[in-house]
Amino acid sequence: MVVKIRLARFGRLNKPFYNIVVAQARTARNSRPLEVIGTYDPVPKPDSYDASGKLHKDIKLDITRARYWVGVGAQPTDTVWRLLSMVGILEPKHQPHRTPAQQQSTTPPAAAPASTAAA
Amino acid sequence: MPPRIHSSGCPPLLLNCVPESISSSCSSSLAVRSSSRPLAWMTAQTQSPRCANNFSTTAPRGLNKVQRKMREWIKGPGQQFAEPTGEGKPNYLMGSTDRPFPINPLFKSQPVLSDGAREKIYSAVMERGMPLKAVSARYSVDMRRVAAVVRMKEVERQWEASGKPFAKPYAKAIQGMLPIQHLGPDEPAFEPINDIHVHSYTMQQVFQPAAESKHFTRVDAAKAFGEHILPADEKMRIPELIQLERDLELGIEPADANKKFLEATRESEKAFAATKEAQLQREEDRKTRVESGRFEFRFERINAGAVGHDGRARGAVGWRYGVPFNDRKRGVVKIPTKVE
Amino acid sequence: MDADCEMKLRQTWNKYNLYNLFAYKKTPHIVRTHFQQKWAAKAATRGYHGEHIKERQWQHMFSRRLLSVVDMDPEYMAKHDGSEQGAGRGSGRDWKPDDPTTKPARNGGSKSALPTPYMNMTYAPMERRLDVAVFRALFASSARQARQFVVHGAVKVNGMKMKYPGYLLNPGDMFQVDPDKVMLATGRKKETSFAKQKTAKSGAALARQAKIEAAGEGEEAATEVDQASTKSGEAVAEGEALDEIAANPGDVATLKKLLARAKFIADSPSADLSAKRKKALRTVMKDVRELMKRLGKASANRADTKGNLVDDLTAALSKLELSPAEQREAEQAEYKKEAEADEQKTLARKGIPMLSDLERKILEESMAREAENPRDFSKPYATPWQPRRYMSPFVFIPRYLEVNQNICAAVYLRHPVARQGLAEVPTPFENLTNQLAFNWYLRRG
Repeated sequence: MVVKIRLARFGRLNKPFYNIVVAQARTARNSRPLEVIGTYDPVPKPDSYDASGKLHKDIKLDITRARYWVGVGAQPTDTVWRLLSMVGILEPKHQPHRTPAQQQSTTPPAAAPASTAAA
Repeated sequence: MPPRIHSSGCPPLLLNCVPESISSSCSSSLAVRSSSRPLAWMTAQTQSPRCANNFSTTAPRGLNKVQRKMREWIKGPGQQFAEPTGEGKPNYLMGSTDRPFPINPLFKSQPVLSDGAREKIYSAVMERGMPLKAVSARYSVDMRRVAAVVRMKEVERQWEASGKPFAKPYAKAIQGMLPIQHLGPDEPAFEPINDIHVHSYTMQQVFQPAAESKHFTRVDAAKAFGEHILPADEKMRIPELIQLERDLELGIEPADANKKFLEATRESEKAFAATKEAQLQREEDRKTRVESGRFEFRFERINAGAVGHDGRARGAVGWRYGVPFNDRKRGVVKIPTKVE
Repeated sequence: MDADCEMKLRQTWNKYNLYNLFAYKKTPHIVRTHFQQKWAAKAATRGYHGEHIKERQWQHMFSRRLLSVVDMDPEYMAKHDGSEQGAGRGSGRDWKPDDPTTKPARNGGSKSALPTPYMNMTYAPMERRLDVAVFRALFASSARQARQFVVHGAVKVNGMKMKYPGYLLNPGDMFQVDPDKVMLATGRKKETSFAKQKTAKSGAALARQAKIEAAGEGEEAATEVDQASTKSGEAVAEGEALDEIAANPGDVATLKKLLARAKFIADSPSADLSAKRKKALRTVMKDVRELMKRLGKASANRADTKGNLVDDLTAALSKLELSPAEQREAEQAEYKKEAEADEQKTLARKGIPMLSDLERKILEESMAREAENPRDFSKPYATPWQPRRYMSPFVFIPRYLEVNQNICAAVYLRHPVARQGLAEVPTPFENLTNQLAFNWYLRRG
């Protein structure tokens, strides 16, 4: 059976909060997963005393475990793929504003966190 | 509802928009007609004219004793409280200088820092780079207050730079109504700076047998109250002051002792700043910031294995499974408890 | 029942509350059971401390741990290590008043040992609430108003909007209130007198009012009008016979007002007056001038047509009136122009060598004051700003807050504490009342 890395929605009405979980593909969304490897809070927040209006999103992630699960063939969903690609665990699937040359140049920084994680 | 008669007093058309002259004439005619009523009522009537009373045949309800006394006081001796004294002094009841509540002598309106004093503190910290502890000891102002003054002055500067207007008239009026204290060599100490919190363990009497020959110090006393109770020397906010006094006792020149004190406070501040810095650095090291077009994504590295033997450990990451969630229970605080 | 017992003290700067504070008596010595005394004390104190908070909520907040501090004297600490307190106890070494060497050393030197009024700290947890702190920092005129400010989003804590009045401040939290709201809360009320409205209104309203007045009530109405005519007298005689009109300077005045109003509208800086509107305005102005000319000549026109003409003109003008926003803008511009003219005048005066240095200084100061506290019609409070009446007896800032009035910000330094002879919770009640209230809550604490 396929093992997926996906999001499980918790939180409350209008206040989403996700666990990033590794689970069998056919199990219910919020059932007990194989492992919880992180959380994702999709609600953008400002910093205090920051007048620029810049917002950020908080994610907690066990990068080692994520890399392991990807390594043994767990399939991330699109959203999780996007998140994992941000920390260089996966190649970005979709980069609308980049030429192929630029895409190649992104590989070294993608490899950098991998080396630190391995060390 | 009592029957209402449209008397000739006010034409009904104008009821909603009575000019002052008309309404006052109404009330004056009323006053003439009802001259048998007590005086306080009449004066009250002229102050707040109510034309509607003119059309009612029921007698208006008079004031009771307390209400009458109140009106008399407000119009009489109470008038002195309507406006500030204008002499930069408080204007409390009973002519007191520091007691806003007449029957509670245990609450005092203590002076606040003057504008000049705040400026002094700000320049000492930000321009001369003095450590907070030294500024606090020098001006006898609590360390937390020193920090707060500097913090708000800093915001004030930002406002000034961005052209945001201050509430200047308000600030001036308030400063004119409060007891104010300046900072200077001739001024009395602003507030005690070495307060220590009275721990509830130390509020009871403890029977501790000790040999008569024992040199029973504050440290021993703290131990007697409880294992984790700190002695007063360690709870002092500025313990360097004790060393300063000791040095002076030993006969070291005051200038040298002061220099030593300044050095010690600077060192302690540096150490504190270093620990804070290290803590922030550690937190930052755990984070990876990724800039997308709209938002910054902050990835914090965590350990997914720290879930305890049954997977329900308290500090574990994320929403737990098989654990009741208490956030909506009665008695649980549902609003933020801190803002960072 | 004694009326004074009914008195309720509240957290507000109201003058009635001031009287209550003034007239409030200490708890009378009436024979009552302990329970009754506790109940009365609880009722009185809760009426002041967080009257807008539900009792159950307060019961959750109540804490039997009362905070206090002791001021340690570094000099004493340096000289003694504490052993002197126990030295020789039980072996006859006591303090003899005639021998100063036997006097035990005490922290704090010569300070007399006042008791620490713990019981006055009963409502200390309430002072942690954001709304109460905003009130204590003198940013609102009552705790309820402070609560409204928080709910309406005018209060920030550590730079973030905080909309919960029940937020419990932590030591070191800085809260800021919108200065406009603070000025509104602590300033005088804006004057909305009828006279002011009347001057702002167009001649249309004037004419309408005059018509009502002259519509022919009885004798009494006439006397009323006579009394009232001190202000609006010019417009009274509208609609009377022609000769009277021609003789009456009031009618000319009405027309003049109309003309001035039309000019004001035409000159208003909100430049988006449409061409159509401008044209209509010009027509009205032209007609008014025409009418004035004719009135001046006092030619033999019929009265009613003239009256109608004035009415028509006023009606036409009222259709062309400015919207409230435009009106405000226009007034502002007018005021600015006046201020500029004033300034130029003063500048011109400055050039006069007869003005002494002192006079010039005073002049400059007054100008600076004017710039700081300007007249501004857009503000919801009376301008130039003045503190509200009966405010000064309530003005104090407790020591656990540090307030910067310029930016309407304050820092909650620490929790309120009791120290020797002083309790930091601002409460209007005596120690005994507080103690009884504390005992009431201990029962369920």
